[in-house]
Amino acid sequence: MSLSDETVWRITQGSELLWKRLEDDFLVYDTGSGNTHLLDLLSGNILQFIQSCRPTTRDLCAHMDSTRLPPHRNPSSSYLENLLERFQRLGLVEPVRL
Amino acid sequence: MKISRFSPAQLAEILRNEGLFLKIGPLIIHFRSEVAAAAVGIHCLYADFERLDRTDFADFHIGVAFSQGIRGWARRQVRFLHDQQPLFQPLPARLAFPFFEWGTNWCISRHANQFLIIHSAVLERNGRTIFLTARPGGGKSTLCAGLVHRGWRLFSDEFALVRIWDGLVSPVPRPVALKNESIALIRSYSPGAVFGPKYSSIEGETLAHMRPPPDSVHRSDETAVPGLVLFVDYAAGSGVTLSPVESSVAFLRLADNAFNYSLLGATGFETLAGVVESSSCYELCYGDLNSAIEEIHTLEPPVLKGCGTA
Repeated sequence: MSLSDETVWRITQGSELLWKRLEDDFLVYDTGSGNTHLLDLLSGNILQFIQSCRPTTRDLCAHMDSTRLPPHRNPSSSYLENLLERFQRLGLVEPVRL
Repeated sequence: MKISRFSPAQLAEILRNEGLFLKIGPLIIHFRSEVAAAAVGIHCLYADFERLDRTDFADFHIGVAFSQGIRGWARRQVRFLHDQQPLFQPLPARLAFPFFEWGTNWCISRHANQFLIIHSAVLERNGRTIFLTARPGGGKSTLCAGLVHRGWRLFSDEFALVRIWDGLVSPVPRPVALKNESIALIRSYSPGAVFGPKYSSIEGETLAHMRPPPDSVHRSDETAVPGLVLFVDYAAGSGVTLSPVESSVAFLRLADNAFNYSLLGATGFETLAGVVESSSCYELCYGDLNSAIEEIHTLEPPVLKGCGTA
């Protein structure tokens, strides 16, 4: 998957995400699929960012750099690409077709 | 009137005719049976329960009846009935009481969806519960029976019923089912324990049920707050090892052990999160009952938010 910097991301339509922070993890319940996901701090933070403001890929990169959360203190764009691909596969996020 | 006040013959007569209404914690069960072996088990193991007057409502209308036709020939096989409909394959008539127990378990696990239902033994002390979850044969019931005789109140040998509206745990203190070596172990560990008849299952295992203590039965309307979650594993000859389990991992393991987590959707998620947030979670591997119970007595549930000392 190759992502344009200007791609806009949102939570998959029809889904609502419920959150629980437990110690150093996030549990997310997806009301659309009925699935529960366990996310590390960085993945959870990125997903919450998408939920809060429909960012572009460029916004996400900047946000990820600013958080400096483990497990990837120096995340690369390929890390973000993989993460977004996994989120898409799980039905959590989708690119907005403009 | 308590079940123990009826003679076995009177109880058998009630079961044959209008049936017995039993209140077990938050649930009302209406049980009818013409099978003598079922009446014997009920008389012994539900001795401290009150017989309810006939009521308009029961959560479950269940029965154990002789099979019709060739299977019922000479009254050798019995069926379990739920709302008068047969469920499951028939079993030998000598297993009528265990069939009642297993069938009741099925009814609770499938239909009591006002609760998040987790496959777990549950006990209570000082207003906080301990959940014991394990694989089959993992020592859950043995540990549960042992704790009952060391000051813990029995909530259930089989189910954690977590109320979805307030997160409290409801007791359903039914008989504790033990198998094989566990029966003799608990008899020697707790000489005061009362056991019902022994059965040989169709798989060749020996089964027996331990009567719930009177105090647990009388207090079956008293709920409690989740406090400890133990993922138990029995390994013969091993010592005791206790290790903390991260809350998020405990959440997923409990969800796997829940009968209706998916069915309850977002409510299940919120309810289970409440359990984990108010509990300390551990993995306990044991080979010796006494040592395991000593170890459990060292554990403290977390202080609830808003309940800490100044």
